[in-house]
Amino acid sequence: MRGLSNKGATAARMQTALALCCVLLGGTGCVVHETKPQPHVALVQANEQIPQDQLLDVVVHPLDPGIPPGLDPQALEKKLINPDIRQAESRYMANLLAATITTSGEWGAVRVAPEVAQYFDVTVQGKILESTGAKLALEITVKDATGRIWINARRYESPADTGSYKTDAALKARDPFQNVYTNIANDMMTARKTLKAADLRDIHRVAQLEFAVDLAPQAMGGYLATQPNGQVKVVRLPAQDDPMELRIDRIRERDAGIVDTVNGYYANFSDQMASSYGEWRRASFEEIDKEQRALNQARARTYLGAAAVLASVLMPNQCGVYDLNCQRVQQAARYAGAVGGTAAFLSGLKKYSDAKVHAQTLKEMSETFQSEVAPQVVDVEGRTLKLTGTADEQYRQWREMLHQLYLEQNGTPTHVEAQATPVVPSPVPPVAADAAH
Amino acid sequence: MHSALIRSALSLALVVGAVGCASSPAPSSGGSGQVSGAGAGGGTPPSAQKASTPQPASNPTAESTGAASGAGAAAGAADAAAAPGGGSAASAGGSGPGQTSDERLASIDKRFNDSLGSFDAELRRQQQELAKSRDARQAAAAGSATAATDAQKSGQKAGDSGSAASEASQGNSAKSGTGRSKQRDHSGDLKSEGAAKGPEDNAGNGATAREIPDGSDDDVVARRLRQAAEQETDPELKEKLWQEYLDYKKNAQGK
Repeated sequence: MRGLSNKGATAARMQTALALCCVLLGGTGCVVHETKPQPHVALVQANEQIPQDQLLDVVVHPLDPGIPPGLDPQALEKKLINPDIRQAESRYMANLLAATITTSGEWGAVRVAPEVAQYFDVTVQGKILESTGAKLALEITVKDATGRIWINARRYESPADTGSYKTDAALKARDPFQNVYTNIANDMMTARKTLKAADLRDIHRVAQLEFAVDLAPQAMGGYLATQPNGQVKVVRLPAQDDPMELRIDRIRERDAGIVDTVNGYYANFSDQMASSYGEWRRASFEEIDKEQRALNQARARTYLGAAAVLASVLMPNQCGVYDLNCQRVQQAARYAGAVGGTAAFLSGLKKYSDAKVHAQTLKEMSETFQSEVAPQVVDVEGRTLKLTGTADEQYRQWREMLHQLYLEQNGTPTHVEAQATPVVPSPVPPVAADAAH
Repeated sequence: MHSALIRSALSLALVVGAVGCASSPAPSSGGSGQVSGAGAGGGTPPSAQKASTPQPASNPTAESTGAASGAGAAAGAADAAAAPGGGSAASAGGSGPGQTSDERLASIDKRFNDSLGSFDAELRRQQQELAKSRDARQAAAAGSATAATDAQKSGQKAGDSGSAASEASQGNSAKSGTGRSKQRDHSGDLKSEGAAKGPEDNAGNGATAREIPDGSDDDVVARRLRQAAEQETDPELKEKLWQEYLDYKKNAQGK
């Protein structure tokens, strides 16, 4: 009696274990990373005219590509980081963010410019934390000219909106990660609405005076003061007809022209790479998805297959010596378990190799896109550096002239040097396609 | 008595001779230098003329000399105000250790204006190149889109209806090189009058219908018109000057 009950208990346990294995096998094999079209975050737009003196100009710096230092190419590959593509994305994403901020209608001029461009009302900078066809994560900081921090290293992330990947038109119409940019723009507006009108005017005045102080520190010093909390404040204003202020205004116009031109370079660059980049992201999303599915299936099949083999090997003998039927059934069960388990295990190994194929496909696609976009990055940066470098030299000359003017106006004679040659840069030469490497 | 008469005559002759010498025009090496300077570029203001011809103010000959050279210098200064880029040689010629503060101020201001003009020209060239490349790319994109329009028309319409990013990105690139999208009203700024004009004068005009030639084949008149247009800060006047330049070039080429 006891033997019969032990056999029954063991059989019950085995049945339970097999059933559980089947459930796990089926469940793990079928559970995949489901992606759906994301709900669109609505961009909050201005519903009334904002007074001109409260409109703030915004500069968006190209994002930090977020390439971890010291990692070899294989390690970067495992993290799905392609340095050249990240460099391109840092400019592309800055341009998209600027475009989104512009669309809200809450701001003055919104431009993309490198970090050498300073003295703007509001500055947006950030870092790419993760960027694949499947997910985007950015860290964003926003502050104004007085030093007030609006958004402090906040993380914005989103999975891809697969609706954008469905057709070419959908991809062109809406970026798969538009929700990220929209959230940033909405948060900026929320922060701006907490400020009073006087604060907004002060921000613009501080930006103007900081620009003026940089050009003519002696003439324009004394108008700003830094408070104990680190914020900058206007303590007095120059006279309305101050000739030095008029000259600085003329330089400021040129500065705006430079920023406009540089912004145009980045916009052109973004337009140029938009189509290829969209295709690459869609393809990378598909390959990543397939690779993940294959890996999931591979894990399930190898684990469960191994478990089935072990179970068949380790199953205790539950049949009597003379119970030939039982022994036949038991033998068949062991054989089935071993064969099935082995098959599952081998299937799992094949799934691992399938996953590698998808990973390899993704790598090749990335290299192809990288070879296309890297020279474009070099070109846009070359043009930007050329223009900003020229501007730097010109600003240096203007600073000297303003300084001399200041000294003369204040009664300190200066020796007027021979006329400095106006800076006229040579035309930007076209960049060869292989100059990037 | 005879000797006294002779002495008186001699004294009278001496006095008459002295008066006659004083009334004749005095040669002035400084004045000729200023004239040549004014002729070279017309950029020397009247104060520089007076300083370089050190004649007593009560001396009528000096006043007449100063007035004549001053009139020429005033014309030169007006000329310089109209076209500050053209007088670069004059400022170099005009600077020197003997200048007054006003002269030095004017000289530095002139250099400042010249540098702004040159920078404007280069910035305009960059913006025009940018606009041309953007227009070329948009034309190419429009051409390829037209070829695929029949197959994707409904999808494009659906895509265009709802998106902020696509419109914004196109709008952002279209705005680039054409100056700030919103003209600032400077009434709330540091001053309200004589405010800095918007940077439209620096804006690239590649998006407009007018195509400005590079000016490599300009004659003297065309070059002066071009310089005046580049350095003009008033947008309306700038537009008129550019139109004048283009009309002149068209007529000159027609001949």
